[in-house]
Amino acid sequence: MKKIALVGKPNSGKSSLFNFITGLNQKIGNYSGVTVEKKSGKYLGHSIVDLPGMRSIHAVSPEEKISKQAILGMLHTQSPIVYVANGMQLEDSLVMFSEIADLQIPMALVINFKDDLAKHKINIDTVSLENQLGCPVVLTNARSGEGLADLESIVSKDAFKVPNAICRSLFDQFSDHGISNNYVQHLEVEPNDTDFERIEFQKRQKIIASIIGRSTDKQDVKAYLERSKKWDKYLLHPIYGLIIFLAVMFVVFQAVFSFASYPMDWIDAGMSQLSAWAGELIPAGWLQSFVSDALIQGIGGVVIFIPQIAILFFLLGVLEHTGYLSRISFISDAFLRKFGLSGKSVIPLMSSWACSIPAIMSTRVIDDPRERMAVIMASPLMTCSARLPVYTILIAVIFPQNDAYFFGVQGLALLSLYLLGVVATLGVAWLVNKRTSAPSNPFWSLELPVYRFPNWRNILINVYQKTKSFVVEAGKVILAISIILWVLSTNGPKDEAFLKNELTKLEQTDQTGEVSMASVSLEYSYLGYLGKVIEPTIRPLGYDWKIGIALLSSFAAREVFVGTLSTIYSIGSEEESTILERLKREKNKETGLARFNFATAISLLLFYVFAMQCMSTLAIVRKETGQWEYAIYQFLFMLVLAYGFAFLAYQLLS
Amino acid sequence: MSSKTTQNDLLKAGERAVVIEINGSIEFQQYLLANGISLGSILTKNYSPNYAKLVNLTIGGKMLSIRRSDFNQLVTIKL
Repeated sequence: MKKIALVGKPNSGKSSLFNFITGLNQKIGNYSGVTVEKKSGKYLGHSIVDLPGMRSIHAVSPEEKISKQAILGMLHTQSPIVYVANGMQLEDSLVMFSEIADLQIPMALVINFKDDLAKHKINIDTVSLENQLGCPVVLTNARSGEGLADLESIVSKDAFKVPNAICRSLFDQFSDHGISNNYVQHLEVEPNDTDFERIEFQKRQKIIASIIGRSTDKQDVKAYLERSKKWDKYLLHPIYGLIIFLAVMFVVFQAVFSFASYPMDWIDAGMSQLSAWAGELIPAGWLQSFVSDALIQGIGGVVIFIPQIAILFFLLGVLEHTGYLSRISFISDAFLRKFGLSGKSVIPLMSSWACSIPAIMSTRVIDDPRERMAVIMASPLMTCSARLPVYTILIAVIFPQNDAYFFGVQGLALLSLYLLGVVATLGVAWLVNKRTSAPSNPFWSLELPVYRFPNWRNILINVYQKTKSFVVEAGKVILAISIILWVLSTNGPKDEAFLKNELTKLEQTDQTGEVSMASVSLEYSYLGYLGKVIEPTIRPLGYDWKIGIALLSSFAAREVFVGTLSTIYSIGSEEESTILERLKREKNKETGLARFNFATAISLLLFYVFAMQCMSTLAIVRKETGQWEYAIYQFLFMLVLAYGFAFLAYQLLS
Repeated sequence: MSSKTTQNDLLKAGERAVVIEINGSIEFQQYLLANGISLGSILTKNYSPNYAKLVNLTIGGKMLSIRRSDFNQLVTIKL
């Protein structure tokens, strides 16, 4: 089994080719020590690696440096390279081909976009090109699979050849011992002689232009770009472009936020049903509770995010394949630059309004490591859908349903919380950008690909891979934390007789009839004790131990806050109106005033604006950054922010 | 603002220019080389709305968007 590397420039169709030849037989991971995506798969019994796109062997960005090191590593193994060139940008593509050819590694050249070449009546004489380059050349359309039989033949017959050297002689060194070549040594050190590099580049350009001139009948691809240039006049226009941009963002937001809610509700209902069945099938006891409340609920906590992840990555795929994703980056770049970000951050940031998990996964479109880190760290501050149940309940407790002019007061309060989330996100992104040690690309460029119809097969493969990666990687952590929280909430130092005695005592003194075994068990569980242990810490925020338990349990997910409150107050229903009435009646035993007064509710709202309170997000941060340290730092940082704002709000308002 | 950078600002959409000088750091020059921009490169300026502070170029058969401040490091002559 050989190891074959797929190398090419961005937008050469390299990933389309990889998806076509490997199908679902892919593995996605990270290169060791970095968060650059490593894609590998099986092709005709060989292992094939899709190296990150690069613009030159003289690598500039961290991703390009990884590709460069992988290629230099192949020098020793003489593993073959399949070089993918964009047929419509042949000269530009073949300059980098010549840089790799000079390393003298077995290669095959795949010229992609055969359909576009035919459409623009550009004929490439592959035999002439093969003779001049010295390695096999095939013409393909990676979207339809046309021409891939030729590649299959090369791989199965191991017909890769070491290509002719193009500019290697530039690096010849003459001495008394004869001629030696220092091209490899030249690549292994950081280049610092721009004049020499320019001369090398220009020489390569000249030779490649001459080779192409002898192998193609037409080199003018002006017409190929014209249609996209015309569309750009509208799609990048300050008025029309902005309207189209907002409309597209509205659709993306709606799809991830609203359309996903239907399958999410089905999954939620399915998991509840499964939990109920487990309750019927398994005899009452710890096993039943473990299966129903920890295992099924934990798995549900993972599976529930699949619709949002799948929809977001499907839409991102459509935007990327059509070429519009780059235009979105173009439109939003100037605004985001004020916060140390670029236009490439806009999709992850806006996706965070639905859910931070797919948003953080989508930060892979950002090629600058520092900017990506800033977005990963800041995006959980955007108001995700899980915050909504908490916000709506607390807003309803303190704000009347009156209208102020055209707007409802409750709606204005909700809008303010959304805006606060945006301000906090941009502020933290700016701060992380300033403080992080992650490397940054000093310069920024954006290739605007031509507009084309999306390749559905590639998009669906990508959706499948991203979803699988989330379920497998983040799912393990989410399930583990669910089990830990279950253990803490269902176990305690007191025995059942004590709990029954407490329940009887409470029933005798309680006038409301709102006590139950569940609330007593929770109060005397380890989680309940933890709530009491942290009570002195959270008292300055206006919270008691009951709110403390809800805060601790909602670490699993923010929306759990509402469910836990309903258990603590023995409401027996998660209906918003029922919980609302109960919360309004709850009194502070020391003051006799309402427990959820204006100051406490505002303090809680601010706590949830800033606190992480989402183990799934932490799991995905760890997966995307490759380190627990970042996830822990982010959790603590957001906790300090949340505590600080909640403290200030309560102290000023009470 | 020097007359050289004014030259770039005056370049209109659809007009072509040849790069005759590249200012800026070594890293910047290497970055441009990786993007196919070198002395003697011929580029075409595409529609580049002001609000974006980016300049769209066609170079080597591809459309590339770079920051306006970076573009102004290039000295070009209109063809």
